[in-house]
Amino acid sequence: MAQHWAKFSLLVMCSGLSLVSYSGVVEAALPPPFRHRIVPKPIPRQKPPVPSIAQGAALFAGSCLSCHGPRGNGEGLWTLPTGASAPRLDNLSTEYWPPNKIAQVITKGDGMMPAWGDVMTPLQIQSLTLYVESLNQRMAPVPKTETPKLKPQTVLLHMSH
Amino acid sequence: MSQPTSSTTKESALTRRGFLALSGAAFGMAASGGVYHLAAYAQSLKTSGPIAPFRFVQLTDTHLGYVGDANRSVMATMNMALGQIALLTPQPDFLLITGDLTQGTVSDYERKRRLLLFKQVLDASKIPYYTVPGEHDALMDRGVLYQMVLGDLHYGFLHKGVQFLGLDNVSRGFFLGREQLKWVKGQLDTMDPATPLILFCHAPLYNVFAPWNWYTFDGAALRALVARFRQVTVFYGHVHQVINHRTENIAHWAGLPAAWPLPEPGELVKLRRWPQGGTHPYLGLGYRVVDVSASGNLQVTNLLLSEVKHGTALG
Repeated sequence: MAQHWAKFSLLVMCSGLSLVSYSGVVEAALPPPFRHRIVPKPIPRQKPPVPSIAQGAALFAGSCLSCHGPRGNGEGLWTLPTGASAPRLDNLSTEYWPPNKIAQVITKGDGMMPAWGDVMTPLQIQSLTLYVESLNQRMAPVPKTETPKLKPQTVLLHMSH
Repeated sequence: MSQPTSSTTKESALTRRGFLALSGAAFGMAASGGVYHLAAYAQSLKTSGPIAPFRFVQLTDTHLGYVGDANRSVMATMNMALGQIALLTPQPDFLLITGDLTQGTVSDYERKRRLLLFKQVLDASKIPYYTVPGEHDALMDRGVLYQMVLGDLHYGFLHKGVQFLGLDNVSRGFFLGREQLKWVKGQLDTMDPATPLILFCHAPLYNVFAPWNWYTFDGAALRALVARFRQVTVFYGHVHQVINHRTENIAHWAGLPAAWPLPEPGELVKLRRWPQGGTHPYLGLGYRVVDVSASGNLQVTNLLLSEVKHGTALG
């Protein structure tokens, strides 16, 4: 009787083990003879978002064009409450308007200029800064090419034979 | 016919039925527990109570202090509107004034004078009123003087079972901002979703036409906050014309201006107002009467100033 029990429990354990080992294969939907060919799916490389002129242009069209004009030359489509027009953004000298100052004005606002830092992310503000810089005939606005630090991520070991 | 005598049948019957009964009882208990918790949760939500039918009037964009051809006497137009409103029967419980109360000016002194003048005129009308700022009132100083004269930039009140929330999407730019959204969330979190909700603000809470600043940058965040409410209505101004629109569960209503009309949006051209005509001086000007029924439904009527003959009583 005891032997029967032992055999039975062994059978259960073996079937359980085989099921567990097979479950990975089922996912890959490959027949057993080709099991050794299974290569894990590559995890897409974590790409941290970087500021872009394209994003800046989209934001500009949505939020800045109304006052600063489609060309950024101060010819806005909407008049400010005081009747004044918003300043030009296409004649900013590198000397007086370094990128960090442009970003600061966008973030904190100035007079009737809204403090966009209240609603926009720092990344969006960086993109807008790049776009505003690109409106000016100064140095070619090249986004920083150095790769930002990646967040630590899980490393997948390749199964290979 | 006869009672079961055999113990085995009795036992087996008991096990089956007993099991069914037991599982049924367990399920019932679980369900009732759930219901109890739901009921407790529902009770914990702020109920607004029964709705008593009432009427209110939306007045917007009075631009007091404006001098120019678009309206040669904003004060006269505003007084005309207030005079007509005073003759309405039944009387409105209050006025909802959705921004641009005064014309924008660089001078802080002048802005304060205009806001005080507005307050004087409204106080003299003897009708209770609630205001929110427009960019003409608040953008120059981020609402400092507005707050001094007329009170909070955003606030809420309950009137006869209907929850009102006055929002500020102009004083720091055309957005609500994180802090105000947090405040709105705090107000709404404990509220029963069956409560009729009326939001009033100056700029539209969806994108009507961004090139003319007819939008709210973070309007989508607010719309998500009110998504679980059954009846949500937004009354706004700013666009100087009637625009009706629906997003998800929200009805958006732009009110008739009291100062001057503006063209329909769509063309990517500079927004301009046109001179007041001699033949139709009140073209496109008016106000809105809203009747709230006992079920919380709104009946909205737009009244043009030009439709009412001078000197006749409005009944």
